[in-house]
Amino acid sequence: MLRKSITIILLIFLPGLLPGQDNNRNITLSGYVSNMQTAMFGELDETWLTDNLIHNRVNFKWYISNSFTTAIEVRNRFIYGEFFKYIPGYAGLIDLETGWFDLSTNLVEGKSFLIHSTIDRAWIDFTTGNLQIRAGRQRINWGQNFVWNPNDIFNTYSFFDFDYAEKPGSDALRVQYYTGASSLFEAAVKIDVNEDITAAGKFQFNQWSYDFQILGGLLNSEDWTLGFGWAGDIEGAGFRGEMTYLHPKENFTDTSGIFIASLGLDYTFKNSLMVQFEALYNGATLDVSSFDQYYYMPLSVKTISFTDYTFFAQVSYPFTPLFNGSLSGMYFPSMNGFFLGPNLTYSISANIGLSFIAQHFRGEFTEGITQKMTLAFLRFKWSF
Amino acid sequence: MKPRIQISTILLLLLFLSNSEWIKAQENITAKDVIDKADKLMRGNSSYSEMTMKIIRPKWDRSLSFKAWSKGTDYSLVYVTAPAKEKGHVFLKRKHEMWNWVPSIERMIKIPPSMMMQSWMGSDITNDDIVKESSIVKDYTHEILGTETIQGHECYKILLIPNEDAPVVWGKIISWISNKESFILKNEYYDEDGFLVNRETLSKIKNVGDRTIPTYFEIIPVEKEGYKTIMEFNKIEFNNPIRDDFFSIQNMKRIR
Repeated sequence: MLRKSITIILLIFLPGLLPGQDNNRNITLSGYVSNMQTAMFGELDETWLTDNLIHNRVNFKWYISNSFTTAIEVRNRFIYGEFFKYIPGYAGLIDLETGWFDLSTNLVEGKSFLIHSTIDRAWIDFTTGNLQIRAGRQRINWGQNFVWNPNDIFNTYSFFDFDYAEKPGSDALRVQYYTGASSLFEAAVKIDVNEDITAAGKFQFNQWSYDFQILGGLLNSEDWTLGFGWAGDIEGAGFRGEMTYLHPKENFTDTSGIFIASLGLDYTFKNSLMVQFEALYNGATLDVSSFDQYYYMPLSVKTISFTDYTFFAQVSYPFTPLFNGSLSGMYFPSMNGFFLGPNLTYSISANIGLSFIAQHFRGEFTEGITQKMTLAFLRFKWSF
Repeated sequence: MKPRIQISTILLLLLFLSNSEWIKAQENITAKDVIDKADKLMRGNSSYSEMTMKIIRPKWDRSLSFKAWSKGTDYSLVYVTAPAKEKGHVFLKRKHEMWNWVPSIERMIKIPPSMMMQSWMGSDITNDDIVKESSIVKDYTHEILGTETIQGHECYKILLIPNEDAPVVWGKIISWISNKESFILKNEYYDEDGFLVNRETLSKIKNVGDRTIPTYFEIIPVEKEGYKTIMEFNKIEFNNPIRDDFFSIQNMKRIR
């Protein structure tokens, strides 16, 4: 614990001690501080479970030379409220480290509050000509769609976790070789907390005004993986897709594989009204019995949904340049359920935003018994 | 007194004569030539610029700053420098394709054509205006309507009608282009029903190095009082050599 705290404190302050800092152009610091109030309830009139989160992110980047760049990004959270007090194992859930390096710690754990800090990016990058090599904790984002990304095998994204857009990094070594203006070869190896290996290669190319990608490798030391994805347009509308096939490595011939695919369409009207549709098929069966169980589950490609088919639609519209509204919905046919998520965001000043976001889930995990869960969030966010 | 009046009358007459003589001599100049010259003046073979865009509304305003590189009409790259939340976003245009790099999520998003018509980060300007997908030369037919004086410059008044399949939101544009220096000094943008939507004026004519151009653009939606978008070049350089492969997805992730 002490060793870990020291590591983290060092990593936070080390950049300031590094030489060359007087050359300000080569060092950048950015991030945000937000305060988010959360309320969770089954029915509006029932007991609310509330939670408060002060969330700070610091992104540090040092352009050491033309070839070398390094980055460290730190996420700090101060949490207090009923989630922390009443949800069993909540502190452990917050301190969940999925990477090989243990860079996550609950700095202070009080009776009613928690201070958590994690370094979710710490990499060094070397570029020469068309070749780029990056080592360390990094985000490897292979997704093409907006909501579900079966191709995103390194850092799977949860649509519901809107307050952490950056997502955890992977402890990985990654090599990219650009074969053209919009084409590249990429290979990456990642090791996680269980020492499971994800190793994959990707080739991305541009043809007929489409970006295509083909990928293959090993997922979590467990499944052979093959994937295909694209992004292009049909009559001006964005058309994207991702497909991934997984086949267990053990007993290869006796087992059957899993197919996961998402298909998306988006269109922006001249008045800036944007509509998006996405459909997901997930061949992996997921053993969850409630929405909150899924909500806090660590994600992998296999757990991106709790039903075999899921459909998504969203409309978003900037009422004024300062005030944006969107409404998203999902339909879970096999559990007779749906999700509804309104989002209203107002820009108070150039760097301060206020958001009201709600997430309402409804469906039958057991036939005939409808479960409901609603989360409401109010967030102030200052970016710097 | 009398002779003086005569002299000024003669001068005026001469001016008028010379002017009409000049117009006569230039009659074989087509509207397309004028537009082409004006377009080239603002574009160059390549350019690098640092700009600030200000969105003004009756009760508030917001600024956006960015750096932009372009080469011909095919390639452009835009790097957003402010505000903090948008800093580091990069837009790349290659021929008719466009990408957006979102650094916080390390995600490359391919932008479909419909999204090009969307207003750029909440302004009165579309994505298309920023990356100049459409060309005032190639995507329109042109006709000289006459001459008018704008900001003391004698200007051609030119009507631009978009071609059928041009990626353009406007029904027509009327442009005032100074006949001597080829400055675009004023544009009026009309919707498909022929109603005037935006009036744009260009001013602050400055020597920016290898040429003299307007550096201050003001776009006013005519139906909306107190609404305005201002674009100002803080720096602009033309014809510095830029290689085609500068406009790549690799460079999108490196540029700053």
